[in-house]
Amino acid sequence: MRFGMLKDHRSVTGQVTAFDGTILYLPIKLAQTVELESERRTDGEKIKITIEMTKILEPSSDLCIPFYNVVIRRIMKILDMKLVGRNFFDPTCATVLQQYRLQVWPGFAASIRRTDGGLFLLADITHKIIRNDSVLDIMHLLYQQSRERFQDEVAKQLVGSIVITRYNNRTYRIDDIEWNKSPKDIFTMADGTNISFIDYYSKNYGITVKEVDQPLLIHRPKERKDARIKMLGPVLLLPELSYMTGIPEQMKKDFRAMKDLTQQIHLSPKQHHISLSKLIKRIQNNEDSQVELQRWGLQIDSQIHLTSGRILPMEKINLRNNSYPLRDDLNWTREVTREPSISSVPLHYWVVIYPKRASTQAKDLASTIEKIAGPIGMRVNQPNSVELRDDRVETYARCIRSLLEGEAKVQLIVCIISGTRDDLYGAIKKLCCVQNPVPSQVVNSRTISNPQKLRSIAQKILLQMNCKLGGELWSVDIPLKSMMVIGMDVYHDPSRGLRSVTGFVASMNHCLTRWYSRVVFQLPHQEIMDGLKLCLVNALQKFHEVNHTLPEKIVVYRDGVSDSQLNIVQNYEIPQLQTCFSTFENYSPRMVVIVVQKRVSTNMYCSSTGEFVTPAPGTVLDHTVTSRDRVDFFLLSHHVRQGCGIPTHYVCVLNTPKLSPDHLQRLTFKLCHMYWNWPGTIRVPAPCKYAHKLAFLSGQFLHHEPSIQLCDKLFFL
Amino acid sequence: MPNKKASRNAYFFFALEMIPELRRRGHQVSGVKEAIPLCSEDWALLTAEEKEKYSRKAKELRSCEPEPPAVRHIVDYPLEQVSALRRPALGLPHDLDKCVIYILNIFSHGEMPSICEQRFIPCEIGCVRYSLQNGILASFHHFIDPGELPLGFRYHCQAGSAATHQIPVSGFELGNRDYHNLFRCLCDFVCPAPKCWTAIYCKNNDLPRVKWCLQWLAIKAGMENPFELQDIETLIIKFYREKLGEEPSKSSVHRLLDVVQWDYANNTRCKWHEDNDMWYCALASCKKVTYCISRALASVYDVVLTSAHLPNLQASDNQKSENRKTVVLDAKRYQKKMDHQHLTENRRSISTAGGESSLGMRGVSSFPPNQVRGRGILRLLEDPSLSFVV
Repeated sequence: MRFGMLKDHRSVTGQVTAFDGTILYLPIKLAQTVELESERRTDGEKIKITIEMTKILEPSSDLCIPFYNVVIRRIMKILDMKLVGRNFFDPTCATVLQQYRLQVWPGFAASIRRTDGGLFLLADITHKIIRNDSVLDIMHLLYQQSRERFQDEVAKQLVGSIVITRYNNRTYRIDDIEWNKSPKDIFTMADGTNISFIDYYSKNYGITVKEVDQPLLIHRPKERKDARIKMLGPVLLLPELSYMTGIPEQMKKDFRAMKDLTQQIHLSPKQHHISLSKLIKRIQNNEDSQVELQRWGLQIDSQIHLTSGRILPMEKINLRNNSYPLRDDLNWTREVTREPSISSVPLHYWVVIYPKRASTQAKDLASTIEKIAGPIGMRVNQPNSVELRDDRVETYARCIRSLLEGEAKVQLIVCIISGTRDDLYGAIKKLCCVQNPVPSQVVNSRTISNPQKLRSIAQKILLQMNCKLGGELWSVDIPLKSMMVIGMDVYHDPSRGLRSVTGFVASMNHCLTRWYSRVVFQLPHQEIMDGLKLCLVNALQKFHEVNHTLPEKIVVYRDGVSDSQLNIVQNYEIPQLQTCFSTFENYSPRMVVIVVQKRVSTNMYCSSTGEFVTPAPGTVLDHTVTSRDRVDFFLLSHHVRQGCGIPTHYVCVLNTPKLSPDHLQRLTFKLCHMYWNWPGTIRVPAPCKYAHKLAFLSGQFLHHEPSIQLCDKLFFL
Repeated sequence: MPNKKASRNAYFFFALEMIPELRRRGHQVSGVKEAIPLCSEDWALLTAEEKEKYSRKAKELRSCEPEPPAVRHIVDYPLEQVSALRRPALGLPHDLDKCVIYILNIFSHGEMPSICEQRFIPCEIGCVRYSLQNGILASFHHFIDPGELPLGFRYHCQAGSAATHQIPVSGFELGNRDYHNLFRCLCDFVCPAPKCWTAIYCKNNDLPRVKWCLQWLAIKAGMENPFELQDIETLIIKFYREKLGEEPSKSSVHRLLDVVQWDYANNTRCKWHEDNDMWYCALASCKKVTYCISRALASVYDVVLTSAHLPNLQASDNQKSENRKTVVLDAKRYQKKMDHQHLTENRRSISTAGGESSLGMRGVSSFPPNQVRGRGILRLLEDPSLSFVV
């Protein structure tokens, strides 16, 4: 209504307007206050419109950003892109994979960002997978498979899946199926008139419904928190017009199909660059979009921005006897499997539990581990084996309980299970982590069934077992002394929607090879900080116990924080954490807090050789595209095998020791080497990854705090 | 009035004595019944010896009585007469360890979002009769047919079920549709005599759900809902207070109930969950509560734990040794030096027998039952005369 009334006054405001309902943006300056009169179309009443100038916005003002994004959205519309969710897709350029009955829509995530180097259009490439089959086709297929239990089967297969309706490109989750209705039925539209589904679709979208006797799909819109918005009733959809999205379960198991698909999705830096350049070209070649941009005085560069980054120096990996400079691929599998680890725990009494079916695999694994233990520098006795008559959860549970309650102290339990079974895994972990704590290792029998790969897999398992027992695998040189590194990550339980779990990991020695871990469960109304404060105090006490001093510097890597929560961390969480220090006498350490963001849509490629390739691990970018107000940097720490290099974004929100950016970057990169489950660099610092693992295990499987007796071991790997 | 003397415990006599004092304080008390809720603070202030005085009185009275029934039901007054909140305090007799309590749990296919009128979709009901003295006395379990799911919430139901008890949301043949009979059975199970009101308990977290489901069931059955549901945490606190005179904190009681120790105990689940090897079972959840109570309070009340109190671990061990073949790969570490010959013999026999020792690994022998357990391997490693078999 408001928009329409304002539109009547184009003569005053000019052709170029942007109006969000209350604020009107104009590229020209009006006389101070303008009063206009309009007629409300519904009742003909005269409405007075007053336009008052409140502010002149600078082109780079923060307030302009949402408004620029509106412009971008319009341009995408002009280019015939379809908005699905937040991203723009181009169905006309879809690649059809006929043999799998799929099509892949290329799309873009585009938004305007204001950074150190000015305004940037941040664009990334995304894909959407849509199946060629409509829901009706799937129903037909199911009907042919089983006629008697057809309705049950359909409900089981379809309920919960996401469909897209091609006529308006909206996605819906199927919540239920309405068997008692058909497209012939009549529904009431918003204006109160009744219309049948058949007529509605032919009138509004020009679609003729072919099959008039099909059930309808029900989608219930999410509950709105805002009570003012009227609750929408369930949305009814036609199976014929709804298409399944995502990769079908069957296909996920098909290795070749997945390979074909990932080829479409994972673009090399070169392809990525080409696609983005195409987008820019399209914007520039399209006259309408140019007009739209120019009306606001905007211009998009014809080239993707080039800037120079730095590559951090390579690290050396220290094992017990030697240290090794790294090769280009930053992988040291060969070294760790042939050389003794820094420290290892002799394994005297351990148990392998396996079902009867997997007895050969268990035997092979035990003998292989014995062979490979020598080079790693670990003393391993032969395990006690327990063969179970079946692979029911109960059988495992009973066996583990009797082992744990027996008088002999079991050091480690290895369970071999067939297939990926979350319930069994959860039961084993629950029994081994909560009540009678003992490190445990679960091995899927399929991974150890290939004799050729067994040796390398057994090596990995043994290294992991060593970590879980409290051994140390490798380290890098850490020049900063008397420092504690802390990692934190949050796990949100998707099904319960209630509790979130925070993992907390703190280093206990100066070469950062001993870790102390805690878990905090919190309800939505509960403050996260109460639990974390306790964790920090405990970690400091433990640090004092081990080192007889308290750390002078504390570096916190905090994961699981979105952009909008940065201020909460800075203004609320950090001061709370700092109050912990008063527990100790005369203690005020200096503290660095760095927020780690993995999901960024910034891509980096390296053009030093003339071609676009993925940058080498250790590439840092800390200018031009970084935030104007904060100390932040992008670091690509992992070796990229497939697709583009997506760096991790680090935002430093507190730095009282005044560590230089270079020091922060190097420390971060060093920590990316320290994740013992992977003999190479990873995307995030090791404490973050450990905290993530811990939070995930506790939230997904344990649902309880793990026993305090395990807190000095990396039992959660 | 059935068995009124049961409530004459130490506290009763204390309250009796307190009546003049209470009147002095300005309370309108006509009898012990009204005095009882008012003197709990004073009771808490008494020393152990002072309390002992009253419990002696109570015992004297009881010894005059005919043989008390081994199993006592908590007998309460009809709802209209007494305020609901104070009822357990009134009804519980002194010998809490002998009184019978009921633990109830009803599972739902998840909790529905607030826009749905039906808040829960009941699908399984489990209840146990329990006393601290005698452990679990009986159990009651049924699957409930939730009927037609509310339209448009099938996904919620499926997700809720899949995450927990995994009971199919529709077309489940074990689901009981005869609500009237089901509810009558439950009433018969909980109330042994008509017109006899009994308190039933469930965990505080489950209280809203169980309450709602019970009401739903009563309406479906076309019967009045005679049950009053209370949280078990408060009862446990009462158990402690009664014996030790001090109350544990709510959170410690919560922790006491929130243990994983019995999560995977045998003989706790219903048959269907047992057969399908699933662990979220309404019956099992009730039994788990009783295990926790038994474990925590047995020492407080000097109760001898039997197989009715805790899942029988001994039995499971026997069963295990029947069914499970225990093979020790590292036989050497339990064997002394002179066993070497036995070992080689053993190895030979394995290579010939083959079939029985499916492991077929050298150095395999069955678990030696009575040998010294020690770190034999270390001694073995140091001994050069013994070639190390790999």
